[in-house]
Amino acid sequence: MAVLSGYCRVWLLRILALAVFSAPLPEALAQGLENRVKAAYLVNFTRFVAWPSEVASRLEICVAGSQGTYWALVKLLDTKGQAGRAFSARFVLRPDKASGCSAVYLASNDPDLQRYWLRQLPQSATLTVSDDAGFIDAGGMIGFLLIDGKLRFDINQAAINERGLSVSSKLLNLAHRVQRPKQEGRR
Amino acid sequence: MLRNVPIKRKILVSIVGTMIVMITLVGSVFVFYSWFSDRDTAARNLSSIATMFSLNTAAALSFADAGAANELLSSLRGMPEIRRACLYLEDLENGANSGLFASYIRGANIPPCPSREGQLKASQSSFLRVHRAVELDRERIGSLAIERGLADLKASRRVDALVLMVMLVGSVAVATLISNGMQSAIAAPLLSLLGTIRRVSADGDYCLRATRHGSDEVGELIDGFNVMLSSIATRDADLARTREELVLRIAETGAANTELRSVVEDLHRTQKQLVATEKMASLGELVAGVAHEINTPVGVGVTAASTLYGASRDTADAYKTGALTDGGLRRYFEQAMQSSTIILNNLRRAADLVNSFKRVAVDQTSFERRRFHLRSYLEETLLSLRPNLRNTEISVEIDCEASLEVDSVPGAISQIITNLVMNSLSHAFAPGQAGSIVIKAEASGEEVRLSYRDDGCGMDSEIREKIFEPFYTTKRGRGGSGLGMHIVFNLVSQQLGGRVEVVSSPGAGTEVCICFPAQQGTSAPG
Repeated sequence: MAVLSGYCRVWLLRILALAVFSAPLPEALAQGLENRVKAAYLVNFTRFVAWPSEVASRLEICVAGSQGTYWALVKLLDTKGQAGRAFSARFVLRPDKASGCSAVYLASNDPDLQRYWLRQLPQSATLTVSDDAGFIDAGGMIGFLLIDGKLRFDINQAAINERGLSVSSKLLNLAHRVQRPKQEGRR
Repeated sequence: MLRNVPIKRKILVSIVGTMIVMITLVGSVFVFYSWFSDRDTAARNLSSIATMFSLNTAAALSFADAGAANELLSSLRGMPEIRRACLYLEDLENGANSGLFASYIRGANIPPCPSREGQLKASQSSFLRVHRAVELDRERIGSLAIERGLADLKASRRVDALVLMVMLVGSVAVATLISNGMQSAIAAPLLSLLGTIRRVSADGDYCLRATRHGSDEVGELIDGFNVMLSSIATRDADLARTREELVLRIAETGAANTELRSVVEDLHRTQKQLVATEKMASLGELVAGVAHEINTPVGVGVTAASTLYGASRDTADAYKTGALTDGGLRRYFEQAMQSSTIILNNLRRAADLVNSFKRVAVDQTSFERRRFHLRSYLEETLLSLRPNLRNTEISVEIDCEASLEVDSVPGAISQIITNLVMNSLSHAFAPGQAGSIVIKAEASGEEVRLSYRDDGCGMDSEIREKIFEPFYTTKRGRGGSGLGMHIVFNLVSQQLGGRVEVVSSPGAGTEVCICFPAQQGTSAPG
């Protein structure tokens, strides 16, 4: 708990710092290439996932821990013609605030934080994305990783399927590593 | 072009030529159709391949995973006809990223994909190209161009053409065989018919018949030809018969003509004889008139002579006996003087009569031309007719200048007047009917106009029109010969050289006008 609260504090500080220094400059925050790539990937992930029909027409992508990624996402959704379905972006501070999120990106490679969030997130059909390869081993669904300076991702197909979602084979083909469901076989 | 070619060649050409044309046509259509159809199929296949790959590469494109995209495109290696595939990224946010994203090239001789899609050359005949937009959630994120070579299609067309050629050669061979068979079936009857026709036209033997081989059109043709030959033969026979008949008929006609000619000659002769007879008859009438006329003075003369003879004999007897007295002698002389005077007077009168009759009779038989006084001649003619007029109530009057002298044929005039008077007596007037005849003659220029008019019953136009025709009479069997007026016409036209016309109507009498030249040679025809 102390660890967690410590992390909370770190995050709170970050957020405060963002609120104080960075809030007027979301454009600047959105400039980072990695943020933009990640934002684009987040949107693309949702496109290769088969959503339950009640949420399929309106997806909300929630970002935690990275204002830059959030603003990059907002900007992306603004510039992109939201063809077919409505996208929205939300910045969340705590996992229990993430209800209604179709996808949650936790910008952290801290395994403890990741496990905390995974545990605390609502047990709904929510696509969980985070940094670092260890995320899918901890039960996360998609984990970013940097290989040769290029952003790649691992997919835990089993975890996605457990939440009633399914992922397109096209996406699986692009993944660096796929954790397949153990008994049901490939879907 | 084929018109003068033998029929065997025609059959060969028609069958083989038709076969070649049909097979070439059908084969070409088939080859072209299969070319276009295969091309179309290939295009559709290519289109679906492109669709499939555009869907499959969407993820790689959206995650900018060129390696994955290349790997995907390299699966086209399983389709040897695909020569090139170019995947282009369209980054709307950052145009600089747009461009060639991944590609697949089959073989070293195929040029690599250009860096921009717009630089792809326009579609060529050697390959097909399909463009597909790569879309993600209906958002265009890139495009895919896939090209397919046409070598396989061309090769299969070459095979088609080869098969077509083989078929063509085989078909021509078969068609030649068939047409050889057809030649004997079609041409043989025709050639046989032709042979018959040649023989018939060469020999003129229409009894030849063509042999019939079957009941098709040629068979009908042969039948028709045979029927025609029969009818020609029949017609020839008919023609020959008709010609013989014609010759016979011509001979008959010639004979009939000869006969007719002789009949006509007989008729002419008879007519001349009749005319002569009629003339003789009028002469006979004249003689009868003369005899009657002479009878009176001769009779008176005879009486006077016999009286003188009786007185002379009595006086001579008295002288012998010496009983002749002076008074008796004086009476005898007185009586002799009277008797001789009577005899002389009557004989002179008879001589006058005979002279007059002789002149008229000679004129009537000789038709000599001479100069004479018309009036006196007319009177002499009437004198000869007096016996015919004596027992009638008909008066005849002559109205003519006594000095009128003509140079013409008096016999003709005499006979004309005689015939006209006899006609009037027998036709114009009923027996015992009173009437008058006026004969008027006057000089009119160089012509003499002689008008004969009676006030008899006249005649209608029908009779008037036929009156000059020979043997036309209204009193056949009652003394009419039908030649009187015909003779009048002949005499006027031939002897006098003049013309005659009849003016008459029923109840208005009859006028016959005769005009003839007063002098010889003025207008007399031959």
